Amino acid sequence: MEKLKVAFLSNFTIDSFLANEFEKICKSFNVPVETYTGPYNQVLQEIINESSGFNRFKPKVVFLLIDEGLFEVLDALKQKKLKIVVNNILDIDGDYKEINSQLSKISNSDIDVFDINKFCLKVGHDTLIDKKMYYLADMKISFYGLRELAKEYMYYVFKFCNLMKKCIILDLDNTLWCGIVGENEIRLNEKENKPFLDFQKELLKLNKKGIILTINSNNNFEDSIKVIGKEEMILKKDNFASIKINWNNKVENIKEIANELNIGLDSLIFIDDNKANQEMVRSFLPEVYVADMPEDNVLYSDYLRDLKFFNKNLTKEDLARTEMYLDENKRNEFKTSYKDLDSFIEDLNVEISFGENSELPRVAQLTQKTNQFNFTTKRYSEEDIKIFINNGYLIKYISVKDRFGDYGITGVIIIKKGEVWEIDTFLLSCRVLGKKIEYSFLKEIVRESAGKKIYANFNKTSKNKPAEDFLNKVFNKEGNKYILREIEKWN
Amino acid sequence: MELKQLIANILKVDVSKINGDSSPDNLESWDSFNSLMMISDIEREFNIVFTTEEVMNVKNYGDIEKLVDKKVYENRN
Repeated sequence: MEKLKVAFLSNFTIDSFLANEFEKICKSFNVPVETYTGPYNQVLQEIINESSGFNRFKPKVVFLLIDEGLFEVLDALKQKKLKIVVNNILDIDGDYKEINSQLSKISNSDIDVFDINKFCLKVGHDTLIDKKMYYLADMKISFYGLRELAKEYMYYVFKFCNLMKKCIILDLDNTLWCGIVGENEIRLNEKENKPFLDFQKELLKLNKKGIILTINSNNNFEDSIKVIGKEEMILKKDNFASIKINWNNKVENIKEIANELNIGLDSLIFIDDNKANQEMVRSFLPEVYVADMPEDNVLYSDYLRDLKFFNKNLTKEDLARTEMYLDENKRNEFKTSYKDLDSFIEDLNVEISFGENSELPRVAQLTQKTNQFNFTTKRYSEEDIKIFINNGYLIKYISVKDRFGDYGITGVIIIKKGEVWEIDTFLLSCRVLGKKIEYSFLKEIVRESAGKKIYANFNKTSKNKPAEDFLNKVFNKEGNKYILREIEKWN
Repeated sequence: MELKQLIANILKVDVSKINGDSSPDNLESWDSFNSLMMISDIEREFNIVFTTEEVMNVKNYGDIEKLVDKKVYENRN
């Protein structure tokens, strides 16, 4: 992985302490970073002066800890192509309400606002601020506060490096409830189960934000499913997109879940109270993040809430995800009864519709997240897409529905229009692959191009084999580009 | 942790390098910023709180040691 270059700019003293703590934490998650801390209280100079340390460093991400002249700084940063994370202003007495609400309004795909007030509630005002350090050295956040802040900032690292997790794989016995089915009676109403039900509540919150929940438990299916069906359970059977309760190896179960849901191992978190299981998954599936569960189960819900792996800004499509996977399960059952793929697809009643130059957040998100069916794997922000539109590019997207569910916007083609049309980006979410939608999408482009030649760019990656296979079916190589064949010659 | 070790860790020097006369004047890695780190870490480690004036009067390691002893003693009584 490429090193993430992160700069810290502040108008009060942070020295290199924050950056050092930040580096330590990144290292513990195996994320390579390089940091730069701007000199004390020279924020604007650093940004404006082309030969400043900040500009020579060329950061990808900048964290701003500024409580004066904030908007001026944000304005100066506008021209630079980087991700900005800005702390809002600590407001104990309600003096900065207006500034903070203004700030929250400007957050977009390139600017994130970190809520220091919420953070203060967690660590406590008197630990966040050390008045002695403030008056001696103009440190507006204490050493302890900076150390904790560095941990909070990991959220943005995971976000910008596309390391967010999409799916939680859960053990059942002594993880979702107290006791072992078959050995103990599971008494969900008793005090012993309160921490576990609270843990379930946190999981349900994540599920509602689009995080997929699945089960991986070694026990008898019928016995465990009975407990899941109990009224007192917060999580119901339908909250789980996949349920593996069997006596198979948990590592195999995880692989199957990843296959079923068609998501990478690196998008998974495994939660199991059993240290041996944790260790096994860690060593056999190093891509999976194994939760280091606290010893005391009363801390489970806090532990989960403190994990920084979950995206907070989700689109409609993310939110409908579990439903979609449940649909997918139905669909797979249905697939097995058909002889060939074409008759299967015909019977899906696929409906597609197109749109253009709108829905920019979703379009940008798809360029950020799609790996498998992606011709060039170019990642774009909302701002980038806007620039494309202003420069006369065509941003075409496709929405897909079939008899099992609505997938929403799941494909994007970006085209540079001219004498010939040049495809800069062509991607489809893996959720709609296998329905031959790529052909229909391209046909729509051919229709609109009215006879112009259509070229495509392609960058091979370790993940985009599905895109490459399709490329070879409908394009011919010509130099370092690919030219679209006539429709009759598509395979 | 022992006080001397705590200071040595912050200054990234061997603990044998620290004595009563050690100060920013004779230890290269001792600057004003890690002086503050020391204060903050000592307060946490020993569960004591210095006043700003006490902090400003510290000139060398010997002063720190005396101050910590005094504070810890006060805490006990």
